Amino acid sequence: MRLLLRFVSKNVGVAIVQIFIVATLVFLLLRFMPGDPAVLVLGTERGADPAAVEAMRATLGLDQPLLTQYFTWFADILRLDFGQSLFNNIDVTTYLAERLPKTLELAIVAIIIGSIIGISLGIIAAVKRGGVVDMIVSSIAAAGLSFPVYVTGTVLILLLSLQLNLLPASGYTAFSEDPVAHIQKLFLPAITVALPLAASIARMTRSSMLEVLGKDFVQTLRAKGLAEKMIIFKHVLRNAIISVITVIGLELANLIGGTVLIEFLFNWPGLSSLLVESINNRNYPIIQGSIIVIAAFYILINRAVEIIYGLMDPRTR
Amino acid sequence: MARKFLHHKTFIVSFIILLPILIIALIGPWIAPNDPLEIDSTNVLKSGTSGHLLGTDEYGRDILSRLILGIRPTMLVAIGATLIAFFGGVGLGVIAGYARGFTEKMIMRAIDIVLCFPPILLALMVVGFWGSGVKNLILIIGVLYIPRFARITHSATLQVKGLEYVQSELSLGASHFRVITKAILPNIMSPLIIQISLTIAAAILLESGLSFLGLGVVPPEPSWGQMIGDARGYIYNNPMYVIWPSLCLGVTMLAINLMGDSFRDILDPRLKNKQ
Repeated sequence: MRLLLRFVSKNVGVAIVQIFIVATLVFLLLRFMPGDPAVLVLGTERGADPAAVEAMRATLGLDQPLLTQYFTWFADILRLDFGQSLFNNIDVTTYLAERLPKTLELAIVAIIIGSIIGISLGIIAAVKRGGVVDMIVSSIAAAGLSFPVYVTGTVLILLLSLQLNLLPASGYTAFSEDPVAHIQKLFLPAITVALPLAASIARMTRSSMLEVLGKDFVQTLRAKGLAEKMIIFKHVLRNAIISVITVIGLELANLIGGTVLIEFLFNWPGLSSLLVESINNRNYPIIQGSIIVIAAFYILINRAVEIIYGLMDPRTR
Repeated sequence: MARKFLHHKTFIVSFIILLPILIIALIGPWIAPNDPLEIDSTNVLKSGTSGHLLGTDEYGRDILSRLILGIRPTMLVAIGATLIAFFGGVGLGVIAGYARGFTEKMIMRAIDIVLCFPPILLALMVVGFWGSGVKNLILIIGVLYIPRFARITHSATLQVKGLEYVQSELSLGASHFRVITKAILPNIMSPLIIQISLTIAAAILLESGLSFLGLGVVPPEPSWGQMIGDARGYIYNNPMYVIWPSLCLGVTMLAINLMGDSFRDILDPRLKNKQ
C-alpha cells in the first residue's frame, strides 16, 4: 500500500513539474519573441503611436520587470486567471470554459467509436489469424494510418455530404437547441477522428491478443476442454486488454490537442480552433491560456494512464 | 545489403512512387506549365480545360503548376527538420552517454521538456509567437524530433561503451571522436535509419497540417496542405480543387510510410516477426 501511494504521488509530482515547465516556456516565448508583441497586436498604423503601445504593453503585462512578471504570471495561473481577450475584454477563462467541453465531447465520442471498432476488429483478426478479416484489417490499418486526418475527412465530406447528401458538411449546433442536428454535425468529425484511432487500436489488440494466445496457460485451458469462446473472452482478452487500454489512454491525451485539424476542417468550435483563431489575430492572452489548458490535459491524462497501468500491472511500477 | 532492398517488393513500390516526386520537386520550376502565382480573375475555379489541365483555384491560378511547385517547401521542411533532429539528437545522445553525471541528467531532462507537449501543439505555440514560414517550420519540427534520436543514441552509447573492444580502443589511446565514429555510430545505424524515415514522414505530416491551418508555408507560395485548406471552402464550386492535392499528399504519405516499413523489415528483422 505504501509503495502504491509512493508510486501515485510520484506521478502527481511529475505532472506538477511538467505543467510548471510548460507555463514557464509559454511565458518565455512571448517575452523573447522577435519584435514587440504590443506593436504586433496594434498593427503598423496604431503601433506607431507610443501612447497606444505603452497601454498595450501594460495590458499584456510587459511593462513590469521580468521577474515581477514571472511571479504575477504564476499567481494568476494558480487562480486560473489568464487575463482578458485583447479585443473585447471578456475573460479568457470564459472562452476556455465555452470551448473546452466541445473538444472533450468530440474526443470522447471519437475514442468510444474508435475503441469499439478497433477492439472488435482486432479480436477477429487475432482469432482468425491469416484470414480474410485479418488481411483486410491489416492493410486498411496501414493505409488508414498514413493518410492525414484532414484528407480522410475531406473524402468523407465529398462522399457523404456532397454526393449522397446524407449529412451536413460542417458546423455546430448546441445540443439544447436541436439534439438531432447536434448529433448529425458531430457524426462526420467524430468518425474522421475515430478511423485512424480504430486502426491503431485494432493493431494493438491484435498483437497483444496473439501474444497471450501463444502462452502456455491457453494450451492448458484448451486441454481441459474449455469452450473456445470462454478462453478468448474470459482469459485471453482479460490479459490482452491492459496494453490496449494504455494505447487508448495515450490516444485520448493526444486528441485533446490533436483534434485541431479536424476542428478546423469541420468548423467545430472547440478549444484548438480557438487557439488557431487567436494565433491568426494575435490574441496573446487567449493563445497562452489555451496552450496551458491543452498541455495540462495532455500531461494529466498521460500521468493517469501511467497510474492505471501501474495499478493493473504491478510489475511496471 | 543493396540486394536485400532490390528484392523487397514494398521498397520497390515505394521507390517507384517517390522517385518521380523527388525529381519533380527538383526540376519543378522548369516543367510547370503555368506561373503558379499568376492570378487570372476571368478563369476562377474552372475544372480541367485546355489551358489548365487540372483547373484553376479561387484566384484563377493553375492548380497543376501549384501542385508541382508545392512539393518543394514540403520536401525542404522534411529534409531540413530531419537533419536538425538527427544531428541534434545524435550529438546530445552521445554527449549524454559519454559524459554521464550532471551533464547527462541535464540533457535528458531538457529533452523531456519537449515531450510535455503534444507535437502539433508545440509547433502551433512557436508559430503563434514567432511566426510561420519555411525557416521557422524547419527549426521547430527539427527540435520536436530531437528527443527520439537522442534517446536511441544515448542508450546505445551506454551499451556500447562498456564493451571490451571499445574499452580496448580507448586504452590504446584512441580519441573520443574516433571511438564515437568508429565504434558507437556504426552499431546504431539501423535504428537511426529507421528513425530518419519515421521523422521524414512525421515532418511532412506536420508541415502540411500547419499549412492546412494557414500557419505553415506563407502564401502565395504553394504547399499541398495549404491548398487543401484553401480548397475546403470551395468544395461545392470545384470539388476537383480539393481532390488533387489530397490525392498527392495521401499517395506520398503512403509511399513514405511503406518505405519506412521496408527499412524496418530489412534492417531490423526481429521487429518483423513480432508484428
